[in-house]
Amino acid sequence: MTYIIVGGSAGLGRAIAKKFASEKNDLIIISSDLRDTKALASDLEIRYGVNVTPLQLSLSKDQIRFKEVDDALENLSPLEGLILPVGFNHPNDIPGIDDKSFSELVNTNFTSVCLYINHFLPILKKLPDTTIIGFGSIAAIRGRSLNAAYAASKRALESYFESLRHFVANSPLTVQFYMIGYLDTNLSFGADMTLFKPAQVDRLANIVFNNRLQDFGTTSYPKYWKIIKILLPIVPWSVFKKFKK
Amino acid sequence: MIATSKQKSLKIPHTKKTKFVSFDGGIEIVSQHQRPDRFRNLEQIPKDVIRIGRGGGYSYVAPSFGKNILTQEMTSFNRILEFDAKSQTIVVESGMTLKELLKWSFKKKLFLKIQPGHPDITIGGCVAANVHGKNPHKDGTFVDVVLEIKLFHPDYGLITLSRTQNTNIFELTCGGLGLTGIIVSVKLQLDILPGDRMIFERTPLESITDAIEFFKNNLDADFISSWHDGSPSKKNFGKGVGYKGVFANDFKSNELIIPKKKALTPSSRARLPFSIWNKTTAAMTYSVYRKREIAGPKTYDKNIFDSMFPFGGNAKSFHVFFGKNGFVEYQILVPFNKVEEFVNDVTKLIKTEKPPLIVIFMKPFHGNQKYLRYSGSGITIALDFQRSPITVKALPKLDDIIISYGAIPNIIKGSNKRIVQNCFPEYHKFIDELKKFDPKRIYKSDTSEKLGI
Repeated sequence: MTYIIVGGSAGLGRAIAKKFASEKNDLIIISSDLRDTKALASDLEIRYGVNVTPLQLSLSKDQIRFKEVDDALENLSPLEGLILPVGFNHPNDIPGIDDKSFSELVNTNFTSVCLYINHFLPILKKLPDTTIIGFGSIAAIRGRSLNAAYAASKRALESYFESLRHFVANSPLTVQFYMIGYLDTNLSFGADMTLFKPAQVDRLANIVFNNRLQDFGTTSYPKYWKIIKILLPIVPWSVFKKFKK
Repeated sequence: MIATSKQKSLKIPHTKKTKFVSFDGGIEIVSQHQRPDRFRNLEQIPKDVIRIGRGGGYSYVAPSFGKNILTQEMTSFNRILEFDAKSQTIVVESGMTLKELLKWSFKKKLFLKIQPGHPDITIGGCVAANVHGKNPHKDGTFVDVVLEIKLFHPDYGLITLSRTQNTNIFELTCGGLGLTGIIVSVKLQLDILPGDRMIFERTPLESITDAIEFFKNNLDADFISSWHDGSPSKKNFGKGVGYKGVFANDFKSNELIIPKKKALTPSSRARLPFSIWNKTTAAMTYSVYRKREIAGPKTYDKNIFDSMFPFGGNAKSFHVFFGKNGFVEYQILVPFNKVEEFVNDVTKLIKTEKPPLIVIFMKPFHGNQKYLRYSGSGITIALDFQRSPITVKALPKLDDIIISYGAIPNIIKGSNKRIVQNCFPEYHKFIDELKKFDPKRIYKSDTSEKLGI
């Protein structure tokens, strides 16, 4: 079976690619830098004997060249899932950010993810036991000054996944959305993690693989973010406005 | 001056301040730390930032960090890029550890014949330190299994180094302490792994000079080394055991046996607040240990992982017992024809100055010395001291002996500018060639600064 992993060259995407390849699935890995995806593709092919096609496609632009993905799919086993561990942030992502950076943030974290879903939805709906898996962020629970466009995109994405799940209800296509907390990736390296120990991406990748056909809708990882998700919105404004970091 | 004031205030995304500690516990420095996991991360650092690559971080000194120097830890670059079964060559990224490589290559019944003793050392680290393995007399040093290197330097981008392409930079990079740039990937020659274990034979040795004879008789073994009691008591000094190992010719298991417990790290090595080792405890322990070793069966089997990586198993306690304060190791390569005289002079020094020398390890070597590589022909002698004021006082006298014999020190185990300047014939040539390649010298470390490189 083949899975398309968008944003699969580093961090969580790389861990998911490794897990799915180790379970003998063919992959198409898409990222914005072919040097990274090619290296990962070679590694997975040599270690696990599966077919991995690396593609370089930017998510920050409006146009996505789906033909390259469609062509790659023709040479692989049937498509079973679309996994979208996409996350792009910007150190100056505050309200008032320049137009170009704002567009890149929204395109990468929201628009392009939705466009991938829209493109592959007709195929995945037709096939048995297929899945679309998306990833949100705890930054979207309640907007703060930092990561403004990123958090807004992730909150919009969660809503789009809710709609998607509703749209494909009673079909063999499973739609899942993981609201993820801090992970031990390069993005969190150097961030202040006094309160929250970053979770291991390999563990999450195992969970994603083992539950890929479960119809649970939205879940949080690590689990304790479920509680924070309930509590954070009811923190009084006078207190919340002080959460600057 | 290592860094400009601009660098001190530089904010590089996804970096943090880390306290780096050398494995021997002797150097602690807080500096900026990056853990690149994509090519772009290497390119995004401004060109004038002073930096250095880092692998596992198991050197006894600090070639992978330094004050106001950005450390680029390459452990996420750990993928296999190419494998050619016919030529038994593999291209791996520099952050791949020896353990990971052996885990993979074991299934193909292949292995890297030159491996130092810690499983978490990376391939990039092996190149930068030009490490040696279990019998450097037979197998040479790491440069002998390196076919090609991809090196990143911001002024040149990604360049290919080999014996036919950018030859001099290849020579500077092998054993060059990471000072030419970031080693991104390495093409290696693998060898056929004859079996899943080694068969060892113990030989009691009454003195250090006995070991020389022992080595001469076993130069073709797959594994050869000896240890000797370092305590200055007349009765025990120099007594030890020699080990000769050969690969078994069959596989009892198709699975590589790996210890469940993690190998030592610089912090886990320093977990005891005090040193258990001193002259008395070392003398007692090694006397008992030697008796036990001699009383045991003359031959015995050991699985491949434990044979290759004593730091993953039985060498743990030895290093932990040095406690938080750590140890000082001098590893010196002495020409064959001078070994006996050298040992006599060192023995006199130990008996008069009485530094807390705990143990001595020895191995035979063969090869050509170039630039700052720990290589040449002779016998390598490692002297492990408890770190103490008496040790510090005795070391300059040891340096005098080393210099007078023209012995070569292993820089990553510990040395100083005086000894390196005097003992490496190509010390100045290395600096000149490095400067030609990188006039701005943006790759530096605590070690390079201390050695005046």
